[in-house]
Amino acid sequence: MPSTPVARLAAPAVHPASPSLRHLAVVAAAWLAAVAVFGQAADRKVIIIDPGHGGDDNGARSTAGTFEKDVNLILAKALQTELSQDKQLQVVLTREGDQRLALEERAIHVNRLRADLFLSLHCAHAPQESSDGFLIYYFQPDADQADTYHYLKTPLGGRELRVLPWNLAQFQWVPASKEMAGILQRRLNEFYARSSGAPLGGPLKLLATVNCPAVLLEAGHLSNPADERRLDDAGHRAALAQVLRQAVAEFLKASEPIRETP
Amino acid sequence: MTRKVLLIALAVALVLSLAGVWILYRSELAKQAAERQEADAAAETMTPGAAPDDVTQGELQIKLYFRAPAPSAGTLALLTPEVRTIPQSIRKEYLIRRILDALIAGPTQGGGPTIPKGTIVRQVFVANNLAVIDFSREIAVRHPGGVLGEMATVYSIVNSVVDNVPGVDGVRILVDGSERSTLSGHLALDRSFGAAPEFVVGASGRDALIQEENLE
Ligand SMILES: [Zn+2]
Repeated sequence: MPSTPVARLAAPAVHPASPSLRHLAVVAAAWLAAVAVFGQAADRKVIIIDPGHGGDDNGARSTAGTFEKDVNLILAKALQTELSQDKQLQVVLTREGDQRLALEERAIHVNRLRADLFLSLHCAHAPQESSDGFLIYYFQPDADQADTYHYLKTPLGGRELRVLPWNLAQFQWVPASKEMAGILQRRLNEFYARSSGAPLGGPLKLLATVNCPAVLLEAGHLSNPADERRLDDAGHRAALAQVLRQAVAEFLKASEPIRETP
Repeated sequence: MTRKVLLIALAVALVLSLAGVWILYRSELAKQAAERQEADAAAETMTPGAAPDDVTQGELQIKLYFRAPAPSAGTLALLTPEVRTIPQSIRKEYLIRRILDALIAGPTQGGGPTIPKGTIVRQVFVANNLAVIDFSREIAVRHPGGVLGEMATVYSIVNSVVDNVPGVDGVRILVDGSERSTLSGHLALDRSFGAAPEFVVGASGRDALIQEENLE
């Protein structure tokens, strides 16, 4: 309720019909409008889509010569178009063109915008052509990282190192990220009529530094010709984007009650 | 007359002393070049077999970890072991080199390679219980990419070294003499790794290893 304190502030100035009253009314109206706009903006969820690789980092390469960086970007744009139909969402891409972007720069972007969800888009690559389908990852520390975090969080261990390293930012979001990964897996399983598969947790560099729920999707195998054809098809990308939008909506809805309690 | 002689003598002395300095300088240069050559030769002999201090004692059975044919859905069983017999180097650095050279040479029993062709091991040293391995740039620039491929590369190296070299509990990977943030854009490489048996075919699931309450 952001408008209440403003109304109260404006109330005592109402009775004398002086010229300053009109000024005050104008200021108050402007203030109210600003609060309304800001309030709405604050209600909007920020979704960051990260097309993996770029510039001289091509990512994986298909036998036909398709670069992962290009597939990632074109899919990210399809997803942005789809998600932007929801006016409650502010959708931002980490890169809009074919430029190199360090993993740290991507994380800076996400953390600065205080995103509500981060989706990194990639393609898989396997040594054998037969491997196909999507893969979903969330950050899961390995034993050494978990030990470090645990140590820093204990009262004695934390005494000398009160500041958590940046690359442990994702730790508090692991359960939420895992939930988003699960929702995405279920929806994509339905979409592709697959019955098996589960999200994979791993010590991924970018996700570790992201300070919000974060998931990495490998949308298909570039080493598999059928997957490559599908990813190259605009109709398929649009359908895939729709599924991703449903997953995002389901996740945001599920996480709402947690978010509103301070 | 005497003045002329004196001048000539002075000139001769000057030329002689300059020549002396020049000769000394040249010999110093030659000495330095020889030292450099010696150092280069010593570096080359870090290759097993060629090194005079690579003393071997019998043979050693080792387990190399290569890429598993295709992990079953939802698991990270990326690696499959392959047993080999290699000469047992007494020095850990040489033992690690033998293991890595075998890993680079590739599998013979059905697994897939994990290290790109053309990669060489530039240097190896062991500090306390950590093995620091410096690979040539091919390990990164020729990497085929993908999250699982990257994990397979890193953990095939880490598991193969930690499993087979007594007293080594962790591995740090450098590329071309420098730290690198990832090999191909996904897995954090700027830290030390311990062995991860959960990535080997037949191991229990990763989630069983790290429980969520560890994160509270
Ligand atoms: Zn990628």
